Amino acid sequence: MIAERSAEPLRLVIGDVVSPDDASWVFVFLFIYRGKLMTIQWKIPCGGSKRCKYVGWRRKGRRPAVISLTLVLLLAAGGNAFARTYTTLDVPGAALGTFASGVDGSNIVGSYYDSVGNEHGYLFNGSTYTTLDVPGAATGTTEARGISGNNIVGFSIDASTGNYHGFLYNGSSYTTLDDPLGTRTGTLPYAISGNNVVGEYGTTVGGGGQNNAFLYNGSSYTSLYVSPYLYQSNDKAYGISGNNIVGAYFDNPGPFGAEDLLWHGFVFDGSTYTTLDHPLAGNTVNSGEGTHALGISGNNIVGYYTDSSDTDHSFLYDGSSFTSLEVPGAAIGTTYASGISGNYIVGEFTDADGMEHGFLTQVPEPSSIALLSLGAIGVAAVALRGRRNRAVLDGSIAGGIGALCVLMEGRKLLNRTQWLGIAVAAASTLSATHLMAATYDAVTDFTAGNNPSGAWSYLFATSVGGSLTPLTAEPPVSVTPHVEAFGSQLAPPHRPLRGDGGGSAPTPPLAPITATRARVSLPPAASTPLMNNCL
Amino acid sequence: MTIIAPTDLLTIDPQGIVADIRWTAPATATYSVSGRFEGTDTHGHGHQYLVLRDYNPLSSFFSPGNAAYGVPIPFSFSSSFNAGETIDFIVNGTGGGDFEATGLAATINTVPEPSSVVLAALGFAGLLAAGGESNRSVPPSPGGSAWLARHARRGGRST
Repeated sequence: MIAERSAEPLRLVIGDVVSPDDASWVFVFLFIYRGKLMTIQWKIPCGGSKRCKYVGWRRKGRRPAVISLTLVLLLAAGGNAFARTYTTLDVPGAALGTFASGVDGSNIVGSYYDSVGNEHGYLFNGSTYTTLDVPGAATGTTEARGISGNNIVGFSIDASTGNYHGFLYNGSSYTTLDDPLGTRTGTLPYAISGNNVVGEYGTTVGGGGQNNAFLYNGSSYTSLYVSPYLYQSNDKAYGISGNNIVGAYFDNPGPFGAEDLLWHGFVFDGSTYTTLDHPLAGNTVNSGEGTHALGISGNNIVGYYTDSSDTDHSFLYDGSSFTSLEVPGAAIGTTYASGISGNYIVGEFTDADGMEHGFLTQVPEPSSIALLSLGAIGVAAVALRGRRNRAVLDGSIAGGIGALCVLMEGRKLLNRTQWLGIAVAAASTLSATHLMAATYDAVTDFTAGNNPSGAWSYLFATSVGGSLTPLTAEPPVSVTPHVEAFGSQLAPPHRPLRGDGGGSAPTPPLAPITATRARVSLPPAASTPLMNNCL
Repeated sequence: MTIIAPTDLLTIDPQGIVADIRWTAPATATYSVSGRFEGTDTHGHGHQYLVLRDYNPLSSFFSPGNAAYGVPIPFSFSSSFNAGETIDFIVNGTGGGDFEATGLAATINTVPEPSSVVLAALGFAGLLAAGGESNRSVPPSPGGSAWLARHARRGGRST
C-alpha cells in the first residue's frame, strides 16, 4: 500500500484556495506596492488534508494584489525547495509496522511485523512486495537491511544459540555471512555495495564484550576499528557507497566501560576516518545523545542525531550542510532516514497513532535550492531599497510552523490605527495558533529515557494519595515500579543497534513483543541498557 | 508471565505499589483528555486505574476499578486547568507485584478559547478598517514603525 504525503509547506494562490498541510499554519501577508496597501491575506488554520479558503482584502478601486517579483521568486522557490513528497510504504499484512532500510534503484528492502509480532524481511520492487524469511532461522527474526543490484543482505537469529547470522540473498538462494570473529553474538550485515558488505559483529576482548564494524569483500572479512578505545568499543558500519563507509561509534567508554554513552557518526574513505557530528546533536556524556550516519550514496549521507532533549532528528548531509528530514504528520522525533541511493531516500516514521511505516522520499534538486537562494537575494535587495525609502521589510515565522510575513514599502501610508490593527491581528493570530496547536501525547512525547520530559513526568508512591517520589534520574534496574517504553518510542532509535551484541539473549524484537518480564522490564532510562547490552 | 506491549501504549509496571504518569499543564487553558488503560500482562488480574486531578483521590476524573489483560478501558473528558495543575494517570499495583503491567495511552489537546478566536476576529476587523483608511497617507508615528519592525524581526528569530 502506498499513500502520498506532501511536505509542501506553502502554496500561494491568489483568489483561490490554499492547501495547508498543518493545522497551525497561519499566514498574514501585507503588501504595499508603490506606497499603497494592496492586500492582506489570512489562511485559516485547518488540519490534515483539508483544503481551506483564505480570506483577503485588497484596496478598494485597485487591481488585484500585485506582488513583487522578488517575493514570488522566494515563495515559489521555497515551495519547490521544501516540496518534498514522502511516499508511505506499508507491506500488505504488516499489521504491526513496516520499516524501510535500504534502497537501490527502484528496489527497496526492509522488514515488517505481522499480526502476531513476527518480523519478516521484504523486497519491494516498486509494485510488488516479496517476503524474505531466512530458511532455518528462528521464526519471525529475518530483517533485510541493504540491497545492491540483485543482492540483499540482512540478518536473522539462530533458534538454538540466539546469535545473529548474516545473510546474502541473490534472488534465488541464501548464503550465510558470519564474520569468524563474531563469536559472542554473531554477525549483522547492514549494507552492501557491489561485492562489499559492511556491518558489525559481537566479540569478546579482554574478557568483555564489544562490537566491531567489518567490511566483507566477498571473500574475506576486515575489521574496521573506528573507536580509539581498545576495549568495549561499539562500532557500527551502517552504510557503504563505493569506497566510502559510514556508521557510528561510541566515545568516552569511561572507567566502567561503555556506560558513558555518546555517539559520533563517521565516514571512512578506505584510509581515513572522519567524524561526522550534527551541530545540534547533544553531547552530554551518558545520555545516548550524538550522531548516527546510517546511509551513504555519493556525497550524500543520511542519518539522525539525538539532541540535548533526547529527541531524535533525521538529516541529509550533502558534504557541506545538513538538511532536516521529517515526515509530515509523524510523531515528533520518529523520522529516521536510513538508506539512500542516488536521489532516493528511505526510512521509517511513526504516525500519530503509534503505527510505524516506511517512507520513500527524494533528495532536493539543486535547482530548487538555487532558486530559493535567488529569491532570498531578491528579497534582500528589496529590503535595501526599502531602507533607502524609509521603508521596512521584515518577516517572521511564528512558532516554527506559522508565519507572519510583512512586506512594506513606504511606511508613511500607515497610521497608528492601521498599525494597531496589524499588531492585534498578528498577535491574536499567533496566540490562537499557539493554543490550537498544543498537543501532548504520553506515548510519543514521554520517553523512558527522558524523565521528566516536557509536560510529562514519572513518579511513584506506596499508596494512592501517599507522597509521590519523582524519578528524575536513571534508577538501577531493581528500582520499582518500572516504566517500560517499547514500541513507537524506543524502537526506532535502537533499530540500528539491535545487534549490539546482546549477549546470549538477543535484544528483544520491536513491539509488540511477547517476552518474559525479565526481558522487557526496563527502567525509565531504558536507552542505556538497551544500547549497552554488549557488556 | 507474559507481557504484550502494543506499539501505541506506554507500559507501566507498578510492581505492587503506585506508578504515576503525570502531566503538568504548561499554560492556563481548557484541555481535552482522551486515552485508555489496557492490561498488557496475559496473566493480569485486578489492579486499579485512576486519573486524578492534582493527585487528589477525591478529584478523580476516572476510576473504573480493576481491569484485565487486553481489555481497553477508555477515558475522555475536558476541563480547564491553571498552569502547573496536574493530571495523574495512575496504575495502583494491587496485585502484590505480579501481573500488573498496564498500557497507557493519553492524548491531551488544548481547546481553543473562544476569546482567542474573538480576539483574532477583532484584530482583523481592525486591520480591515485600517486598510480602508490607507489612502489617507497619514505618516505613522516613529514609535509605531519601530514597534512593527522589532516584532517582525523578533518573531522571525524566536518563534
